[in-house]
Amino acid sequence: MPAPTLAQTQQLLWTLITAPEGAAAGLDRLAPAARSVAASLAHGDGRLSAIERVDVYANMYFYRIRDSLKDDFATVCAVTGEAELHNLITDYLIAHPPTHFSLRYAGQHLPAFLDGHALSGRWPYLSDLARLEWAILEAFDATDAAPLQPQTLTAVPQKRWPELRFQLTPSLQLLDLNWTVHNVWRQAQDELPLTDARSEPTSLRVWRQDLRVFHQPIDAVERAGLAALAGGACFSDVCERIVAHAGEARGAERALSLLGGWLADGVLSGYRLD
Amino acid sequence: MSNMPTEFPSLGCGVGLRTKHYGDILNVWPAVDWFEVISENFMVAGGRPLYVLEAVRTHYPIVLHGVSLSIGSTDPLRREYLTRLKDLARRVEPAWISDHLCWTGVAGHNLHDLLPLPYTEEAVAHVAARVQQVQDFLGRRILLENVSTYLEYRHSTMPEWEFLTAVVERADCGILLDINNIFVSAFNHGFSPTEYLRAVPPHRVHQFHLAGYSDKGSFLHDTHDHPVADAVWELYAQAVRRCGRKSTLIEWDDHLPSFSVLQAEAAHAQRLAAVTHHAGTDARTDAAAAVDADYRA
Repeated sequence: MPAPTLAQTQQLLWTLITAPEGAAAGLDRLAPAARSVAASLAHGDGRLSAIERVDVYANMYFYRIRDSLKDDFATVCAVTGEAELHNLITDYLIAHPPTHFSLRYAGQHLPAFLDGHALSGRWPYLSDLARLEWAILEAFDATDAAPLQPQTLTAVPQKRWPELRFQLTPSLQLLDLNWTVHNVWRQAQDELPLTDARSEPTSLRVWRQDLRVFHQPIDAVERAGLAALAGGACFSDVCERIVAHAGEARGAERALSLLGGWLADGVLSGYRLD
Repeated sequence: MSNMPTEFPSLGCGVGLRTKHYGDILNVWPAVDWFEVISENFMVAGGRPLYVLEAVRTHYPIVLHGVSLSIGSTDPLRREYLTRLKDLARRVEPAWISDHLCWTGVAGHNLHDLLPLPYTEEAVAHVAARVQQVQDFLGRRILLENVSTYLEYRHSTMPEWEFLTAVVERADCGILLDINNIFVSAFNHGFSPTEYLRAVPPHRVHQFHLAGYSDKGSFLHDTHDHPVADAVWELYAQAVRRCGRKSTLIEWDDHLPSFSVLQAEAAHAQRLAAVTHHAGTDARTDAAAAVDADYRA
């Protein structure tokens, strides 16, 4: 039998290492010709057979990614427990073998994957919880931006305020969820017993201020204001959007209050006056 | 390559920069010669990772040590990866850049592991050509590290040390010689670590790695979660006698001890290398043995 090429070697080894039931099962599933090549790929000896040596890599593959996902989705893992987590990661890796060069992105598909997974039958909020944890990760290493300082705005003539187009800090993400998963996350952080999230439309803003990541629930009024800012609307349009949600009586006051909160929280990183 | 920087300065003995120790380092600026960082952990847009790295860089030399270059893969080199690595290097000005003589994935996938290559002429040619492309792109020579292995291919036509030598000579790159990986692989495959050392071209070696392993009974596992083993210290002394005092790094990635423990390992490496180098003989000297015994007491 001719020696396998480098490409054949790598493809065969990848297949064996990623086989969910282990390298031996992966070997059995190969077509006869490929199985013959794969079976004679590696040396074995009295200490470890060839397939056991492949399994060393197979175990490292699974457990390295599992451990990384346990760090990145700690609250999801706290909800499911170890046994269910093992099965979840096995299923996830079949559907989404990693492609990014950084292990940081191994879990990028997990929130969407959980939507259709059996575990969501037991914990229907699991996908939303994963979305929150992923958003926290994304904010953690998002592009840096100095926060807009309130005193900077004193240089803007009052008559030009309607034209202001504020820039949002790059780390800001708006999540529209169906469950109160932020409460479950907080329980996990405070090492309290976990209770199930409530089924309730929930919008969260997730952002980083300096080096710390924050998230908090926001109401429909703030959600509308931030969405308008994200769309590049000028301040007068943002205020109109806020008034439309808050009502004429409270709209202006609410707009100023929100602006003050966004400035204090570092949600705004600059402005533009055309 | 004639216009590329070829210097690999002697940095002394350093340790890996790990999240658990960020507070210790940024608050105290401890006495350590240099830090090695995992390149991919800092190939991000912003936030704490880069803040810490840049702060550390103002006080210490750093080296970028990658795990995803996948120099031996039959997939094309990833332009995006190389660009981000180059950008990071421009930002933090590392003493050098290193990665592993291995492959990490194929067909667009990444196994996030350092997989062994067959030791064949095909692999030598393939890897050497890719190293040259990488070095041209980065504008500098890189170091390639020998990986610990748990399988060897039946169709290899040469031992690992000949493969390593052939690749680095043809690619004109350097070697990051991982002493623990030599020891682990030697145990796993039944070859002599000393024979390995004697075959490595000393002029290509510019850095050593030292780490701990886990004994699994039927094999040794390069887990980087234990102190450096006695036998690995002895092999390190042999490497210093052969290659000279090169920058040395203590690699400890899991079950991390306090930072002072890493410092102690680095300090021991420093003392051992100094005594061994000055002894200048092939036999293990009483002085080096005394340094070792004193540390282990």
